[in-house]
Amino acid sequence: MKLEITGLTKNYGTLRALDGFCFTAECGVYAILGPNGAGKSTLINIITQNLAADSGKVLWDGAEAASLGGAFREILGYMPQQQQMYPRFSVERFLYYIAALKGLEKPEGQINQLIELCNLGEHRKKRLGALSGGMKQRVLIAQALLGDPKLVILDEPTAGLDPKERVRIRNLIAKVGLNRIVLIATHIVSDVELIAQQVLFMNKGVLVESGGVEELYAKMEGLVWDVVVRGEQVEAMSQCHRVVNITQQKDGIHLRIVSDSPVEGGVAVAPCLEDMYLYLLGDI
Amino acid sequence: MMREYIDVLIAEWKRVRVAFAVIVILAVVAPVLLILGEQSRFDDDWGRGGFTAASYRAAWREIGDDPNIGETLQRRYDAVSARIWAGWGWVGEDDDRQLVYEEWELTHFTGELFAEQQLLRFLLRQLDEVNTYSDFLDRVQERAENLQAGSIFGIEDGFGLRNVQRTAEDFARLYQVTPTFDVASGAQMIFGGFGVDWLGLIGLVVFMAVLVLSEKPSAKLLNSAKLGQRTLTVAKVKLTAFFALLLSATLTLVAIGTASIHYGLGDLSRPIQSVFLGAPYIISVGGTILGLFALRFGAYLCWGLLLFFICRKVKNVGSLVAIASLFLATGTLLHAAIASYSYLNIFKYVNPYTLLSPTNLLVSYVNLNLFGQPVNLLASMVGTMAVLAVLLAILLVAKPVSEAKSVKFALFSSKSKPRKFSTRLFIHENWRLYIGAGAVVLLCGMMLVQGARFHYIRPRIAPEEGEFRAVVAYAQGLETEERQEWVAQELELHGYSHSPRAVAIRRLAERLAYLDTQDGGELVYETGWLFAMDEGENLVNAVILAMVLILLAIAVREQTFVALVRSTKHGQVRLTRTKLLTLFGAGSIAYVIAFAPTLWRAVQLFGLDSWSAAALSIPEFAGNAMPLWAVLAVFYAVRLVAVYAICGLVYAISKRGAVFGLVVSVGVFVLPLVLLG
Ligand SMILES: Nc1ncnc2c1ncn2[C@@H]1O[C@H](COP(=O)(O)OP(=O)(O)O)[C@@H](O)[C@H]1O
Ligand SMILES: [Mg+2]
Repeated sequence: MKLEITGLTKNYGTLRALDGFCFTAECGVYAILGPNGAGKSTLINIITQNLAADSGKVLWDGAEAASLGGAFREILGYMPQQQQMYPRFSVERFLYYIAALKGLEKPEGQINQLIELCNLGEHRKKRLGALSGGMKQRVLIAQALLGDPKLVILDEPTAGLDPKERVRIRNLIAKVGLNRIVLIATHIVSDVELIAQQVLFMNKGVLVESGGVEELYAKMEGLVWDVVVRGEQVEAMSQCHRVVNITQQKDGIHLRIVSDSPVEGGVAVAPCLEDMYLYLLGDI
Repeated sequence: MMREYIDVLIAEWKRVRVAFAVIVILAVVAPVLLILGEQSRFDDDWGRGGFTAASYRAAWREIGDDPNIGETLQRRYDAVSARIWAGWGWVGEDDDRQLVYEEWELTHFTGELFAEQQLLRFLLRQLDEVNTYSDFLDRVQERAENLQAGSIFGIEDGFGLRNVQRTAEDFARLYQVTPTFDVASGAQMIFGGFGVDWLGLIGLVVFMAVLVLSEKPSAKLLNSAKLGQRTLTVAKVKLTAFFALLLSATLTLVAIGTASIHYGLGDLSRPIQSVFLGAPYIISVGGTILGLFALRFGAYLCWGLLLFFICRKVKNVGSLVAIASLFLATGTLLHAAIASYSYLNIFKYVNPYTLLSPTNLLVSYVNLNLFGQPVNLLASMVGTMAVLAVLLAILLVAKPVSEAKSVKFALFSSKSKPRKFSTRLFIHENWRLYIGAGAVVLLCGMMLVQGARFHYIRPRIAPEEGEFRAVVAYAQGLETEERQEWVAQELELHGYSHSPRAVAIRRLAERLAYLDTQDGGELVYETGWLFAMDEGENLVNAVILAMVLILLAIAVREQTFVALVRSTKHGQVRLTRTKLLTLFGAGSIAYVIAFAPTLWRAVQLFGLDSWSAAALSIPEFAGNAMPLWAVLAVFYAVRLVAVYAICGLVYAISKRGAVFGLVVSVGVFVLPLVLLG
């Protein structure tokens, strides 16, 4: 179970959406973090064979995915970004429809399990057109997991969801990631911070930084500072430092600053993933 | 309490009064359908339409007051017939031909000799029936006596015998009735022909949907309100009754108005037997119409309350229509399946279907078999309607609906055990097309349109055509030489007369001459073949078909999640293949619905005989040695291929979105067809 991406490049006319992208994934949750337009969906479209790359390869267990064709797609579960589905289909019917497309023979056991897993039991007879955004996303996740895929790819699974739904889906993904490769593309750090084993920062089609969460924290060690200032100083500090957070507290205004060099009067604090995101991709 | 009750009534009235607009719509539609339904009233036994309603009206206007109307009609009829005989060559024909077409008096009402003859014959036949009414009654008595004198009825069961006795008794009373000769078609139109009451049912469904269904979600709120459901239900029941009254009055008045304009009504105080010979009650025409109005009101009230009751148990209009149709279908089935004298005939007559045909109750004579006793149907129906209306009203008012219950009874309940679906894409796609996208409704609608066109639009067969068919059939039975001799004889006899017979013979002679120039042709009556393959006849079919195909293709094409599908094992290729297959299936059904009526018409009216004869037997297919059946098969095969081509093309075009697909394909496929026509 190994996904290898080597030197993927994709141009839309003169726009280079993907530039020599490489990485390797083995069992676990992989987060692809990057702002809108970073090329996440483009990457995913290539992996899911919705798009042909200009150059580079997608390898599954050493074999080229393009030549594996149906055999590769069989181990693939894909949740596209913001999807409209047949509004007249019920949740159940839709899952059976996808099961048919995936060529599953007897999917009823799986479907019932997935409906439970994704908390859709109450809504199984509802028409897709009548579902809320969160329910729809859960249906999409359920269909991605149909057929017990080895490689699960989720494109912005939490887009448009409320915090409660977010947490629920996060937990679901964590569960799923135990014995599979799960790729999640998102620009929302908090969605993946707690569950990702590996994080890939991506910008303008280029892999900027990657590594395990602990590893990344270690790299950021000593780069995050907490400074207490007075109100009139905030503007000046923002000018010369990268301020990631401002909070008003009893003893004054706390600025959280990411900086390579120590900040005057600042105390070094433990980094989080969001600091890294802003450190790497913040200056756009 | 009273004050509040009236407030509720007024509030409900305000809420549903728009629904009363449906009455106006029906009042506009009804005359159109009524008149369309009259198209074949004057057709003769061969389905040939001779004279028009206008000439019928004109005839009555002119001779209605004639004290010797019988003699006048007979004189005219004799004169017209004589002219026609003359035209056929029974009298020296040269001058007669002139006479026929110059002497306008003979074609006074219709402007045409044959139509005139048919009109006069029609009137004379009615006059004869009226004059011999007592003979008719004698025959009823006679039959009763015969049957009583040891017939199978007497032996088999008690009901048959008692029924015959009762019939004789009931009809014996009618000896005091003297029918008169007057315009009858107007009254016949009111009581027969097109079922106005089906329109009434549509109106009731619309009204009840607005009155009861559209308000469902607020039922909880109303339950907790001070006055509660009961007051509201009473108000609704009253509004239902009011609607039923207004609807029955409107439809009856519209029918009366349409009939009086179309044919005229005649003297309303004359006995109904002047119009319907077998009518069993001593009552005037006007009285019968009043009775019809009363029965109609009762029937609509029952149906309205029944629909009210159904509305309580269902969630949406679809279920309402489905269950109402089920009721109606069951009734219709029972009515069609059970014989009139069966001991089960109570189910034949006392059912939802009969409620929808109150017109028959007053002018026909039926006894129900109630445990061997004959019971008058009219009385039973009046009793049933009264009991049913009261019962339903009490049930509705006494048992206010609770929200929870209505969910439990919903036809398509939203919560239940896991259901297993197929894993065959083809089945899913078909479900999506027919149920999800409503192609079933589209195809049923198409069937209705085609059925209505078939029913209402019938080609007129000219007398010459009928003669030609007869002449060909006769000539087909003759040996070649005999045939030539016979045709020569006939030509001699009829010469250049314009009588149908003469025209037919000349056409036959031409055909035989043509066949001499062709190798392997035979004498074929060709009108059916030409009709089946007629461009004009099939043009409307084609336009309707093209539109349906476009809608079908767009519905099948609809697919919003390409990326997801492409990433699955079978992928988009399999899905597209399945969708096209589904589309071709639906297209084939539409194709059959589109062309079947015309083909059936051809078979029914003209016949598709000599199917193994070479096509060149028909001048239109000169030079084509294929057998006729093959020509027809090619004709339909080409169209089927075109169907698939259109399906595929629209499918491809609508890749850019449904609206784009619709606009482009209507432009490409439908407009040229319409413009060509
Ligand atoms: N079909 C397309 N044609 C042209 N440009 C595209 C197309 N799809 C994406 N892009 C461009 O490629 C870049 C990357 O897009 P995308 O992969 O969707 O980013 P992300 O998913 O990270 O937000 C963006 O600048 C976007 O505008
Ligand atoms: Mg994206």
